[in-house]
Amino acid sequence: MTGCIFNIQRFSVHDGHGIRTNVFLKGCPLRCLWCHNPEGLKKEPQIRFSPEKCIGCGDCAAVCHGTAHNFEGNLHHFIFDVCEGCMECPKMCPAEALEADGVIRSAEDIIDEVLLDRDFYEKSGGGMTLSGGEPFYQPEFALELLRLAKKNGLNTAVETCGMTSSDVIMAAAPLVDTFLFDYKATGEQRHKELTGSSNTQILNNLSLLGTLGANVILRCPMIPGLNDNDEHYRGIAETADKYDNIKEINIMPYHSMGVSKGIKVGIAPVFTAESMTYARAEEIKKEIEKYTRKEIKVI
Amino acid sequence: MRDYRSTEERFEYSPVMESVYSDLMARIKPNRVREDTWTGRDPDGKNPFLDVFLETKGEPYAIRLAKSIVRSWMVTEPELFDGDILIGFPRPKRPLFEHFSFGIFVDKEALNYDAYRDVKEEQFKLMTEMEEEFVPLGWHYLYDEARRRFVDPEHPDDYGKVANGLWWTGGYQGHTVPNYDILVTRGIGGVHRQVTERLEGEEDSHKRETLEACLIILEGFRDWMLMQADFAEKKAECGGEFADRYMAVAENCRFVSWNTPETYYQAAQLVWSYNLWDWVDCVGRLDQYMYPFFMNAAEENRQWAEDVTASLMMKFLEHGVHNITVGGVKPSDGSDATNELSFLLLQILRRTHETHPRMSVRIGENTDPALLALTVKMWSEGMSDPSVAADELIIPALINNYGVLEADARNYTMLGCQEIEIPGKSNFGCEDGQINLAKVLEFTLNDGYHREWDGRRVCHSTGKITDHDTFESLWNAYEENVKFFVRNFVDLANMGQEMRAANYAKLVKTPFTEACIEKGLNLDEGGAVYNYGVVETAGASVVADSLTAIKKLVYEEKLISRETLEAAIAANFVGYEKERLMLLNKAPKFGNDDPEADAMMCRVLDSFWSEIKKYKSVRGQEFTGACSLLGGGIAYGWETWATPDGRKKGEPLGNTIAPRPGINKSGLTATLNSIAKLPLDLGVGGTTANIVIPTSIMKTPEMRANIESAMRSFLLSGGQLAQITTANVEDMIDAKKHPEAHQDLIVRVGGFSIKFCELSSVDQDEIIARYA
Repeated sequence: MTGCIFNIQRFSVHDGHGIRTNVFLKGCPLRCLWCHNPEGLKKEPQIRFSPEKCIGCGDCAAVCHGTAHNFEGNLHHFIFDVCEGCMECPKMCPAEALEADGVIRSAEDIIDEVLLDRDFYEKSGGGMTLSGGEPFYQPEFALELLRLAKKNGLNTAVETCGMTSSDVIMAAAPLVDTFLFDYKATGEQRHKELTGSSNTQILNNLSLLGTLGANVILRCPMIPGLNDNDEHYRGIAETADKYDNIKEINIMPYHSMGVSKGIKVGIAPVFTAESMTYARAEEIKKEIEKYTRKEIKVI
Repeated sequence: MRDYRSTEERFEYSPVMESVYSDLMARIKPNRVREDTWTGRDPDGKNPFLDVFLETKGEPYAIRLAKSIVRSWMVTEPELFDGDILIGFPRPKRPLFEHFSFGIFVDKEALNYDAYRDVKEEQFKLMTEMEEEFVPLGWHYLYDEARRRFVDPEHPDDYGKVANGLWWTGGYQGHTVPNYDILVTRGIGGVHRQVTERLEGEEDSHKRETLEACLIILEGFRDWMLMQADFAEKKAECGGEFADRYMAVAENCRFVSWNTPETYYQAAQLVWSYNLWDWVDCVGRLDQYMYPFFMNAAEENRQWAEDVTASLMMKFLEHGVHNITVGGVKPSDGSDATNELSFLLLQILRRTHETHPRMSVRIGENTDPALLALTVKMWSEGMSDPSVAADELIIPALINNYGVLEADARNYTMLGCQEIEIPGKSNFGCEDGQINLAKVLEFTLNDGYHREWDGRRVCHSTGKITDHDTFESLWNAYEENVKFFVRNFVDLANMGQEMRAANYAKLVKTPFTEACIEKGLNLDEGGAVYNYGVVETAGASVVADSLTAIKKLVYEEKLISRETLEAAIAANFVGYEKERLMLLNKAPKFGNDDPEADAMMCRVLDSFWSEIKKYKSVRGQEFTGACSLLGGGIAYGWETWATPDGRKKGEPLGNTIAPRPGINKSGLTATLNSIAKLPLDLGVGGTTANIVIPTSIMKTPEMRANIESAMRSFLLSGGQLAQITTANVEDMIDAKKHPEAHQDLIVRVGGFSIKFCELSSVDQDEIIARYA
């Protein structure tokens, strides 16, 4: 089985226990205003363009199936809207000015690469983490990766926004050691405003994982001005306290790297702010601690 | 501190040692590279070596050298700092005759003292006679041969054009660790008796001279210790709050001037004093030979045992001791040798947070996990020490590939920057020289011609790139030139060793290197038990990545023609930026766990290391590889032409065995995996991986546990050595702008930990590039 991924990041030490390899699956059903991985939103492979690296050789225009590359002298304009996604130009570009955001690969092939660090997982208690995008946006592929990982005895974690069908959650639960489950906004209306979708299905899935007794860490991105308010802090605490299977809350302070990454894949920023300091995140942690006794970590 | 193993508790000096420590920090120079260390007073501006040689005309060279070494110490005024409990201080800075020997430095340097202004010419004439009579082998011996081989004798200076950027051969330092085990268990007198007995009935005049020179050293050391004792006693007689301490120093010196030490305090004074005579060289497995003394002392009075340890470590700090090794296994049964003293020594280094003494930690399957935990904790606090060494690779490699006995292999120590030896038993020629493989490739790609020296060929004519129809043909050409240069390298390296042997270099180490006395030979003429040669390597990863790029882009995918590649390289890529970027970006590179790129690196190293293993050092045994140069990677890179991995002329080569800066993009585990695939068992001279671990990923106990796991995994599955640079790139960039705010920023440079702000701007940029 094949699927589309946009990165395999080895030696990840922030997402789950131990030394881990993160596999980033393309495609996401949500459109969060602050999206920090905008290159993962689209399900298909796409072009990432870094004009500062371009040497103006023009080889990209020669292989383009359409007319996405315009040159004014050495000045290179890439027209995202007319790119047909043939993905030929990154193969030619010597300068890595054009790169493929997303490749189609088989699950076996990906697991082989993940297994290169098996020794490190065994010594550290780490393993594979699926991330994205939203891993369950390619549900069968995500499940296949998890099955293969389990077949090879790997610890597994999934970073999910929770927006998927209950069937997928049911199928995934026995294959996943840790769910890193996002909690982004409190209240359905606010969730719609910030992410473009209702949170009903997401909360249903969280509840389902509670019923199934899955190991869940609640992950809360903190976005200045959008959700760093008392109502949301209470919401986080209440949600975490509602389920015994939620052992830990992670505070993830906003960083602005998504803005420049978005521009490289042709997405104009809809929200910008200064990156949140760790000191501020620690303050927020203290606020939330007023409402819950569950463990909270700033990561 | 109750538990030296703790990563939470910290060691603190006792109040008295704290004041000794603050005095030390007040007088110490910011740059403690050993040769520039603040040294003892220079009473009359004369050179005691020169004086003795001129006075003893007619006596054998070895005897004269021994006497001159003793004289140099006897004319140096002792120094005992307020409140300190150990005495001893380096001589005034002079050409390092006692280490490098006199003959090697018989040149104008020896006369470069104002005190000889009036007699300079006469002295020089005498010295030239001396050189002819007693020191047949000076540097010219080596250079004449090198010139004969490579350049027109009419233009001897041309040899520099060949050698610059290619190699340094003939030996240059010669770290070895004397047998401190024997020093503290038999004492000076014990070894003196052994030499005296050995001398009885010996009729070979050369051996007699060697043994007699050893006796002069031992007796001279005794006399000097007694002089130190008198000095301390006088200081005690002046009274004051520390009079008792000074009296104890005097008693101590008197006792160990001849006797076997009975207490930890005595052993510490003896080790430090002999270390001074040994040019403040490495001290080996300090936590092993001192442990029985330490335990006895600690049982009686722990505070005192700590004070003695702290004082010894301060001496090592002030004078820049190169390497102290802790942990590892016991030679007798291979069980974990880590003990309380191993941890205490690390805790003191952690407390001082300084770049010296540098320390190494030996890690094996059964090593107390707390040792690596403390190591990682020290890294997380911004230190680059200790570096780590892998017992599981090094011990079997020494046994299987180099015939070292099991008990000796288990007893290996780190020394120098990142070299491996058997303490007190070996002379691995650390180092016989260095060779830059990227330069060999450079000549090979240009039909043996020098790129910047018009029309001059320096090695075999093996064709240009365009002449090779297949990749294997090109590889064979490269290998032929490797063989050519290795053959010449070994010849010259061996001549360098003959020269050093004839000069009795490292004479002070000879009585304390096992087998030298039995054989009656000095250290550099094969006196030790183990006598390997060691060749340092630069440029291996550049050669591998260049060959991978040529194989893939030129021969397999034919994206670049041979003619274009040749033109691009010849032009240093000017006008060929597209080709340069293709070579850089479209072919895999070593250090990313890529099977093809890593296999090429294995092939390059295996080819070179197997070739040098075919040759024997003049001292008696084969050559082995080493790769621990970082400064070398910059210096050699400066002299190396553009290479087909996309590197422009003058850019740095890879540091140590690690990839070139910025080339490894796949994370720490991928780099460690790549390195662990290499045939490191053929490079047991010391092949280290310089690893960058930002402190930002070692902040929490969980994060540190991950780093511990990564290092443990590397060290137990094929890695050999690793040294760590821990600083964050943001700190370094800021330190360039505001050096004053970052005086404590420590980075690792090829075996040296050094304050970042003391590096040149070029070196700073190179290190920053490694983080980007």
